[in-house]
Amino acid sequence: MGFSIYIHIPFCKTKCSYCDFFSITNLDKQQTFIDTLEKETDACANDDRLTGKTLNTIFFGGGTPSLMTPDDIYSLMKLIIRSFPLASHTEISMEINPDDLTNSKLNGYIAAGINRFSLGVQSLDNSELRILQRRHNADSARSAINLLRSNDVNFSVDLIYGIPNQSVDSWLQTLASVIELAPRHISMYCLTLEDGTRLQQSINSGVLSLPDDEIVRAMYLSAIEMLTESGFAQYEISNFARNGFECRHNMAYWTGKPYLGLGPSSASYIHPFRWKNVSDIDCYITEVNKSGKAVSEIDEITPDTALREYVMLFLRLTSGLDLSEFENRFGIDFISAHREILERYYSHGLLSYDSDFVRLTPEGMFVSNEIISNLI
Amino acid sequence: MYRLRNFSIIAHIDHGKSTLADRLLETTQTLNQRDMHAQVLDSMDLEQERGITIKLHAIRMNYRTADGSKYVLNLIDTPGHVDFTYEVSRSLACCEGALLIIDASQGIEAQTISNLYLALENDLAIIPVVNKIDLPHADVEGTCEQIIDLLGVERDEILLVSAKEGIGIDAVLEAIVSKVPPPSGNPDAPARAMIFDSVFDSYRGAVAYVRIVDGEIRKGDHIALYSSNKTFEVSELGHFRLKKIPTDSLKTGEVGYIVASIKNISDTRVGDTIFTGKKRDIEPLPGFRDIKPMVYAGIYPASSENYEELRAAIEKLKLNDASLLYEPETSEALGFGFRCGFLGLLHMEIIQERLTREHNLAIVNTVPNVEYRVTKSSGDIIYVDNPARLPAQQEIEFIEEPFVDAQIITPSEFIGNVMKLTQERRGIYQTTEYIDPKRASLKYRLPLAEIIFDFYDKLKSTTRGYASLDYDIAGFVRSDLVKLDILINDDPVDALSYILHRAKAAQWGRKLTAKLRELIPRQMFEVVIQAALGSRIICRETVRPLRKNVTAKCYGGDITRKRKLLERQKEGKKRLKQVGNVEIPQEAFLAVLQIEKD
Ligand SMILES: Nc1nc2c(ncn2[C@@H]2O[C@H](COP(=O)(O)OP(=O)(O)OP(=O)(O)O)[C@@H](O)[C@H]2O)c(=O)[nH]1
Ligand code: SF4
Ligand SMILES: [Mg+2]
Repeated sequence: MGFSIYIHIPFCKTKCSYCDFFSITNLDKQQTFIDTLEKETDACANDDRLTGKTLNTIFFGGGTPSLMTPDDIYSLMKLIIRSFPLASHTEISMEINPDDLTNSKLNGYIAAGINRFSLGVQSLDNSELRILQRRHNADSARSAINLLRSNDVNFSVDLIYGIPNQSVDSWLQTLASVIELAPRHISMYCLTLEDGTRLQQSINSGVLSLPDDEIVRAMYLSAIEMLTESGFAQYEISNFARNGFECRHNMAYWTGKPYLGLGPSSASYIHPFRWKNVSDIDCYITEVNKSGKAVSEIDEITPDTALREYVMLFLRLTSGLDLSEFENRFGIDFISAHREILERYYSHGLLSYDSDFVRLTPEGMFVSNEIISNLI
Repeated sequence: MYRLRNFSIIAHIDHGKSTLADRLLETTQTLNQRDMHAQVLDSMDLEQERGITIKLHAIRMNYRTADGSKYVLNLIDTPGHVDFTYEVSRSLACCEGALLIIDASQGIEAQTISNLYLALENDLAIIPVVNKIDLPHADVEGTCEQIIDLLGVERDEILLVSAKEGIGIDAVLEAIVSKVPPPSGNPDAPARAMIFDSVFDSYRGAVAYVRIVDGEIRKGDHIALYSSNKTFEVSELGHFRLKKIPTDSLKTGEVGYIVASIKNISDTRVGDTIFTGKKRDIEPLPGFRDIKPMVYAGIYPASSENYEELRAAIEKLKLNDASLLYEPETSEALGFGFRCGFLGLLHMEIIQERLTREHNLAIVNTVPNVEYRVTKSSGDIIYVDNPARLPAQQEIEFIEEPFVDAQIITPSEFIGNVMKLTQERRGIYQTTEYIDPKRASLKYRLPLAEIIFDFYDKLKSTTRGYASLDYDIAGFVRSDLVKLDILINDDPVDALSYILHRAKAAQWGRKLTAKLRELIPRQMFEVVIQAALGSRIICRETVRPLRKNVTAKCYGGDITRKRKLLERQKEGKKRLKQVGNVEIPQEAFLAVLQIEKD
């Protein structure tokens, strides 16, 4: 079986108001970071759990990977390929910010091997983008998409809904415009208030307020409708794709496939361990230079935890939880173990089940934490 | 040979009884410096933490007077809180004198008077002591005036003390010796002893704390208990030092403990008479009565698997606390649990706290209520200590509820406020007397149910902290009472039923349902909360369904973070009690108490 690699590029020119991903705005350390990242990659090549395994997907995430030059990406790719054979259609994705993208840069990335771009558009409404404190505006987002289209490269668009002051209409307008620009994949994330963010401060101090749950729910459900009508199939809570364009990298996360994270704050999973790198650039640099690793937490996945993860992950997917696979793996008949709750949710239209699968409905997905916490 | 003096320390709450006891123990060198700390007799953690005495404490001191004569002084420190009045009255019955402590910064308060009356009923010599004279705002002269008025004593009979600073302590000891009469009693009669407390010891069984009234009890004697007729052989007896010190016998007038393989603490009932010889020759000591709980509440395990643990824990507390009553009960909403009877709300809180702290149990408590006397249409009379068990309206002829005689002492400027408050609480005004030109004592008859929760707090706040309250059960009085039921998604939740006066039902229903709406978290489905009188719905609130609860983001493959989030959410559900389809948080069962606080 193959595996995936995630590479975290922890730099951003400025910090968006809602973001709690690990990234720093001091770009001076970029070069040291890249050298360190190469060391970490090299060290992992010696991990005998991975030797000889083929790489199915690679994902450059962040932070802002598009701050890296095509040369940086190219040398990293070379390093990876030296250690791990690529599968015949390895998906190699990269997150990009609209205002970093030029034609020559894009071509450089493509030449370095990137075959899927994930563009952080978030919104096509400038006042919403200002609240999110994104660097780009609607126009630069549009031109970035056009650039991707003119190069005929596979790309996805990331959107955010539930933004302060956003109406259902303005959200659907953004979505409709994006659909018109014909990406093959759309991720739409409900804005989440994270601790310690500037957005949280603004909300707490009353400067901004989040739209009512009922409105955000309407945004979600009507977006699903619009996307489905436009030929995008939902395959996960927040992800939609034209047939065959699902993000294989993210699917690997949700279906329990192994992956290796590189860079600070990245997460890895090779059964039975999950671990996470330190979320600190200096610490990352020192540790990797010392030992080739910068791990901060390791979790051993007990059978109990594995079961919970399984329920949690598969119920995120529209394909749902495969009952016979579940029973084979854990020796538990999921339906009879939870019959009463399942029936209750079923009667309220939150999930559906038959003899083969349990699946959340769109309504159920929007309260999936509540449902899943009652099933684990 | 020594001479004996038995005395109690009585006062309003916090006037400094235990602190004065500390000084007496120090001065008589009963304790060495090493063992000494503040309120040393308050040995329970809870007592130390809250700074109150919950259980009375007896200790024996040796004292040599200024002129060199030797005395043995038995001190009983009593709790000031009204919940424990009966126990205080029994310990007073074991003494010939009492130190009546009055805080110079507070003056006479309600329990000062009620405890004084208890002492007078027992014919005790009263030694008035004004304490806390060190405080800058102490009004020593004003307090003395009040005492002179109250007791008819001379100014120079009042002792001025600072228990905290150790001022005036020798004078207190001298006064005990000179003013408290020696114990009387017939040393040659068959033995009679009064039980004033008992504790349970897992090796020795129930240990009775007694005062020998007549005769003598020796090791090996056969003793009997008057109320139960049970007999036991004395295996050990002795005196109270900081520990229990065995002796061969307890003589007339002495205070001590008796061990006699008494298995059950309910056999050593406070106020009962221990005797030797034939029962027909014995006159029981007066004042004994069954302890009746004042308030009742359901205690349930938060999760039903812990029922047996809860039973064991309550049994264990009961071993040491005869005043705690309990019996198993079932609630449709809460499953298996216990209906418990308490001396009052403080007593209830103490039990709850000990269950959670000492026994590490998560419990759900229902709203406390009083006991009702119900006369049914059939003529049968039943007592109802759980609102859910009240018969249907059409089967009830009438309901009676316990009333108390309450005494409220307040500065006269607040009389209006006090009257307003007591009126809201259905109080029936009796009399007003002036303690001094500026302070009045108001007497009211009040329904017990109206004062058990927050009356005291309200009284304090409406009088800027100056008023004090004391009460005594007066008996059952017929009232126009109704049962308010709470329905959740159309199902009545028995543990939320509440009995109250008809005139208050509508307003309460509204407040209670509103409070429940706040407390019940959003669920997947709409939750409808209704209040009903019989079959009539009087108000309705809804908890809107949960519409959004999702981890949308991917967090770059950090599955553990997501999982922990969900596990925490699942953990949070332990606080919730599943009632039918609805998850109700534990605190919702005490929602009524919160309303009163608002
Ligand atoms: N300033 C001052 N404070 C005192 C004096 N005596 C007691 N106190 C304080 O008053 C508070 C109550 O004292 P306790 O001795 O616990 O009172 P108590 O009467 O035993 O209280 P209960 O047992 O709860 O009824 C404590 O904070 C003492 O430190 C005194 O002479 N002067
Ligand atoms: S660009 Fe992305 S990683 Fe950087 S601050 Fe904005 S949201 Fe966060
Ligand atoms: Mg005390």
